Amino acid sequence: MVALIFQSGADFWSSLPIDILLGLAASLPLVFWDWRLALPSLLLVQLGVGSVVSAAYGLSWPWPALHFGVLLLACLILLLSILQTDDVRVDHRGQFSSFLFRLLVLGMAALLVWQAGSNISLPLLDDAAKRLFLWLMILAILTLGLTETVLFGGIALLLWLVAVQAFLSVLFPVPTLIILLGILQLLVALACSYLLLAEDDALSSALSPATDLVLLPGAGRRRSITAGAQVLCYGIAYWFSSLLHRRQWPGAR
Amino acid sequence: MIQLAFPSFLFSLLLLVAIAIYLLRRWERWAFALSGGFLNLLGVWLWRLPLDEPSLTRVAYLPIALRLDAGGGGYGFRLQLTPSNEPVVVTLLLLLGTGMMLAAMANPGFSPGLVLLVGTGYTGVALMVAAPLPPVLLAPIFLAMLMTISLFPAQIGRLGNVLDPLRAILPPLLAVPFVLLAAWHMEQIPLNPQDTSVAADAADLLAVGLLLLLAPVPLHGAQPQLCESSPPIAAALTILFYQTLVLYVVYLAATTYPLLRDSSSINLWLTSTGIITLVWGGLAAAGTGHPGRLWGYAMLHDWGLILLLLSAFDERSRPLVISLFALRLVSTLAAATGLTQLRQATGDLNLESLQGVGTRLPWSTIAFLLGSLGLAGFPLTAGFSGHWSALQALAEVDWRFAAIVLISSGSVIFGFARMVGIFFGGLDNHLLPKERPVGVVFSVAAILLIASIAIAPQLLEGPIAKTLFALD
Repeated sequence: MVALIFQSGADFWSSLPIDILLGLAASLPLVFWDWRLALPSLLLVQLGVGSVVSAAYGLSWPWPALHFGVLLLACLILLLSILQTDDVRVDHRGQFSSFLFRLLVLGMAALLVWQAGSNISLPLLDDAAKRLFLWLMILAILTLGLTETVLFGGIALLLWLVAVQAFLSVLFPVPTLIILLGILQLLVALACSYLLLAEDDALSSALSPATDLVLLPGAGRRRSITAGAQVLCYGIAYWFSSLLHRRQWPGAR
Repeated sequence: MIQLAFPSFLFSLLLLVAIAIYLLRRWERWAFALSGGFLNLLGVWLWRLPLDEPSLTRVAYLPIALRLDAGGGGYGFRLQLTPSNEPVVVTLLLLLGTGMMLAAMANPGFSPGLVLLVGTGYTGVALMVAAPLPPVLLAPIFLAMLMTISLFPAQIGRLGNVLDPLRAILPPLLAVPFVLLAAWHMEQIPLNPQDTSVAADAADLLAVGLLLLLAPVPLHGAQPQLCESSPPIAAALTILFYQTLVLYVVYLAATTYPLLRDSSSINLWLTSTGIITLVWGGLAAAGTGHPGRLWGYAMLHDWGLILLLLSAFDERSRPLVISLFALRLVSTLAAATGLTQLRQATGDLNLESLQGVGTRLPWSTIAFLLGSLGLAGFPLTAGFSGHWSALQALAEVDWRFAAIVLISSGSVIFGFARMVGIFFGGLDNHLLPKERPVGVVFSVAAILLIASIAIAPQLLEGPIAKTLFALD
């Protein structure tokens, strides 16, 4: 089943409409600036990019599946922190300018990638894949440049790593490199997840022995999430409910 | 008698130190002091070992025979102590040991256990001699990982603005694709030796990757921010661990791949970014009103000068870079010693609470000022001899470079002159506690170290000569 997803239809995955679709999915976080859209779009981009490198460039299917699994885990790690900080922060904090202005910036970036793409050489990639990877990288840099919050900083870093990992898997299909980049992705997600909690200034600090790894004093008072299944179920339900009510709730991220 | 390869021996010792710190956590200061002292002794012992003798070395009081020339590893990785990585490993161990000892001085505000983990990681990367891809070209991935883990001690227990520490990950993360793309091009060179464009592309990509790793302006953002908001010791160790390894990687790359110097414009890029970095460090220091941030800009200015000298990649500039970096280590740690005391006494480092702090905590204030001024090459500080030699070397090439360095150093000193006025002005907070004896001991030790290096800079000649010999 997994092999079927990642290996079927090289022509389909390397076609221009699919690349455009993936490019559009990747730009959702920047356009709507909402984590409920950003995390699924990140997963969608990873699924698509994994299929591109597997179907069109012959990377054996377990590796793109591993990429997807790692990103899913990274998104869950981020989600865990988001769930614990739902009562803080104003929704549009860190959002750069208006929706239309961000669209204009994206349009200019798209034009740049389209024009400059032919002059940039990324070995082994065809034109469409090259432009897709460049677009993902530009989006990551734009998001990093425009954000003032760790959440979108983390999403941008993960997007950057999605593109880098896919491209390097084509250049060097070496298991060690793929695993190292996966570990890096998880570490980045962990760091962002931790910083997301530390961004919450509602917590009070408490003295503790410096040898004990109390990463965040006071975190014990927060909502306790004890089981992995609870994280998953509660997370998905929370995501869906807040997506439905995002217009009515001014405190939404 | 157990025979151990050096990497296994080193990592076993570091693990034992971590366990000891955990077990002695009720007496944490003693645990930090003892483990710091032990790591410093380990560094000095390693420095004095003759590496060219392949025979077994007996470890005193232990039934262990050490094979210094033997390596270890798995999955295609091999770790081994070599003459070229020995100075880096020693530097990392000494940094780690000093950091642990400083953590014993005051409530460090971070977990030394995590710092130990980060330091062990950097040591492992320095020891890496073989990997599935050339170790130099895999280094950015490991640097990105270690920088990511470094965020935890830098941010631990501290709430507020957290985006800036995240920026510390950016330089290695951005460098990863460039360096690995360069690696792919280098693999293609033997397949088509006539095509010179492949070598040129490889050299340019590697140069861009290394430049990103070196994090000049505008990638410097995390450095002053860490110095402002993180515990001073954690900030100093985070920055110095990273820069020690990056400098080693750059030297290794320049030695392993001569095309980096011959076919790329890295000299020009390093010269221009080095000048921008040191000028920006000077300008920003003159305008800032936060002692931590001022210290960060002084470090940035000093780093700009190192980049400027690094750009030459020749026999003359190499000793200057190494001596400047060695003096940077001393000055930064001395400043961190003083600033930690000031931070602990005042609770924060706002100018209002620091008014007149020098009258209550004179030794800590002087250690901070002398250490920081050393980063600008102020006379009678540790950094003066390095800056003076650098100025002379630059003036011989082009007097304008020397003038720019002098003016921006003056700008940093101006920033500290304002700070001296605040520190030794009228005391506002009369409830400010007096200096603690342990703080006095550490601050006086830092001042004595600075003074001895300022008076007799030849004390560092031996280590610098050995490092130079190792890197050649």
